[in-house]
Amino acid sequence: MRKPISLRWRLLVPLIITAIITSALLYFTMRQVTKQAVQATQEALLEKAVTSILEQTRFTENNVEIDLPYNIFTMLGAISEDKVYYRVDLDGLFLTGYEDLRLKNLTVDNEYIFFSSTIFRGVKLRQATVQQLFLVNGKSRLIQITVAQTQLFQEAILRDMSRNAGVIGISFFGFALLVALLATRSFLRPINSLAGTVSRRGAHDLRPVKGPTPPELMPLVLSLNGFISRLTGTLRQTETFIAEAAHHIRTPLSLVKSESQLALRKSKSSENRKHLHNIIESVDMSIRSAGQLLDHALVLYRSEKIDEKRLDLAVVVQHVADNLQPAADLKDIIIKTEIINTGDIFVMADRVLLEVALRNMLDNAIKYSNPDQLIFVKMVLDQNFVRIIVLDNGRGIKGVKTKGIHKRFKRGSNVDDVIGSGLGLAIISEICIILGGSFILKNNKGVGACAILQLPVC
Amino acid sequence: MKILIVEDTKKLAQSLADHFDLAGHSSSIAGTVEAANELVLLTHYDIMLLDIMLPDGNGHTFLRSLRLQKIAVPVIVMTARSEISDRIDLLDIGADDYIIKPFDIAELEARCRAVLRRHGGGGYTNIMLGNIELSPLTAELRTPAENFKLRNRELRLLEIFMNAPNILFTKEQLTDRLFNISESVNENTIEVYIARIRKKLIGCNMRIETLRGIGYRLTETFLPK
Repeated sequence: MRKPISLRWRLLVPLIITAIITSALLYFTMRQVTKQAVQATQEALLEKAVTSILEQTRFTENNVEIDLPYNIFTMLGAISEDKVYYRVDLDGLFLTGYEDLRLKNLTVDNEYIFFSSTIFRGVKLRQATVQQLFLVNGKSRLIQITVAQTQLFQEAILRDMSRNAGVIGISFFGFALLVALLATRSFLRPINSLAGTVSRRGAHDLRPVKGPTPPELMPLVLSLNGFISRLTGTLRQTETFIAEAAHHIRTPLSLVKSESQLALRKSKSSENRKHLHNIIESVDMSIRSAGQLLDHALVLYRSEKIDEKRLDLAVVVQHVADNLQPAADLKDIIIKTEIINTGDIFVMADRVLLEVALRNMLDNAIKYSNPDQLIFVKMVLDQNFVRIIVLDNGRGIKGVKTKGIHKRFKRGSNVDDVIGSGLGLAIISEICIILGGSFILKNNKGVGACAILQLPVC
Repeated sequence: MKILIVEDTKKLAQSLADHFDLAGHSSSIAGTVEAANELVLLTHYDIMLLDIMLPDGNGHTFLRSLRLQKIAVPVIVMTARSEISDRIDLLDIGADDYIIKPFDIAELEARCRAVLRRHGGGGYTNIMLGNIELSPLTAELRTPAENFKLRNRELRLLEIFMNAPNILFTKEQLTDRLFNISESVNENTIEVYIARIRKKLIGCNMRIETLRGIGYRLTETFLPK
């Protein structure tokens, strides 16, 4: 799937393209205008030169007298290092000037000044040509005058102007880019402000979004507030459902278990005892499944309403261990907690989720341990992480396919004889993802299993 | 041990009371906060088992009011809720422990013992038979020769025998009382625990007698003078 284009680029790209086109147009326009202006100036001077020569042309009976106005040539030559060339033709025959200066073929009717460009001795020239018919002794004589000038000055001016136009174009582009960036930033500010307001909120802050909002963003804010309202309702319903489900499932199961145990204690018939065993076993299975399904629902619910706090890990671990010790006592198992090589360890986590994960780890260790054993809970600090290691002396997972063992309702192949729902490891793994940690279950050195919960410290 | 069970599900409350009565304790039942309040003010209880969701009020509020009245009866809250934060709140307002429903009766008894131990053991009487004395609270067995600290299962097994001297218990009965149904237990496992207790009773005038093929019972023997 294509990555959607960001709003910033959607806005910035057209503005940058516009700036590039405008800058280029500015550059070429300035260059063209300058070129035209310089050319017009040169042409005006050349026109003046040819008309002055023409005005100074006189025909006598058999001769033609041309008075070349040197002041004009001086003026033309004074501009930069430019050179001036001329040529005068009479009746199509070269009369004076530079014979190799190429002459433009004009028709006899042309009585205006004609401008053209030519190459003369390898140099580019701009030339003006004028021709006029004189009636001498009843005979028409055609005189053609051409004045040409190199374009060094024009090229120099054009070069300077191009440089200046380039600087102006780049400056304009830079300015336009800056304005585009500022405009984009200003455009996105209300959106970023809205995002910041929402993201800075605490886990339980589900108030509607308020504050000054541009009219264009109002539909988004209204949708967001609608969503928050629906989410609040759903979370409240989920919370109530979990609490009520827990009460309505657990209390009757308590009664069934208590009554079954009572009946078992009083029963003398081995047949009845067998049936009661089956009932209690089924009840235990239901209890375990119901408990873990509720825990799983709790994890899913808390993941949407996570309440992170800075927790003293040793206190939390000890609390869970103390609470489970009476259950462990029933199998003469002792839970020992210790912190390796360090002092206090703090983690940023949701206490409810952390305790659910630890409880499941210890619960598994107790469940699969043999009686009269020790369960070690070690906390090892390793740079930015802490590893909570639960070591038991139970059957371990040797020879068990561990692939997919963390998935819901999956259990190891060596624990069929022990009551379980297959949700414990899935719950721990899901909590790990929520808390930014990881979970590993492996064989202990020697016997038993080693469950490692790794969490980032703060 | 005198126990007050505050639970609105009558059948569950009665079932728990039956368990405690069978174990030789005395128990009262209250189905509402009001009834529980009256009983607490009238009588001294060694421990209270308190449900949270009651018809006329909340267990939290009741517990807080008890502590405000300086009534220091040890309280174990029986909660059906999964929320650990709720349980932490309960400890903060003065509960001594909590247990999540549904629970194993043996675990509830173990928690009661642990709480009473922390409170100095008031109300928990030692069991004396012949020349031995068993303190269920501290898990100590006192014999003329030596005092022994018992493991949990040893304690529970000896408690079964001492609460019913001369009564015959089959292996199955003892296994059911000592082990969880889900535990895979060999029939002979119980013999290991019997042997451990027998070893501790050497030199005492109480002994565990084996009735081959039937079971075990605790009987008094007459020591030679």
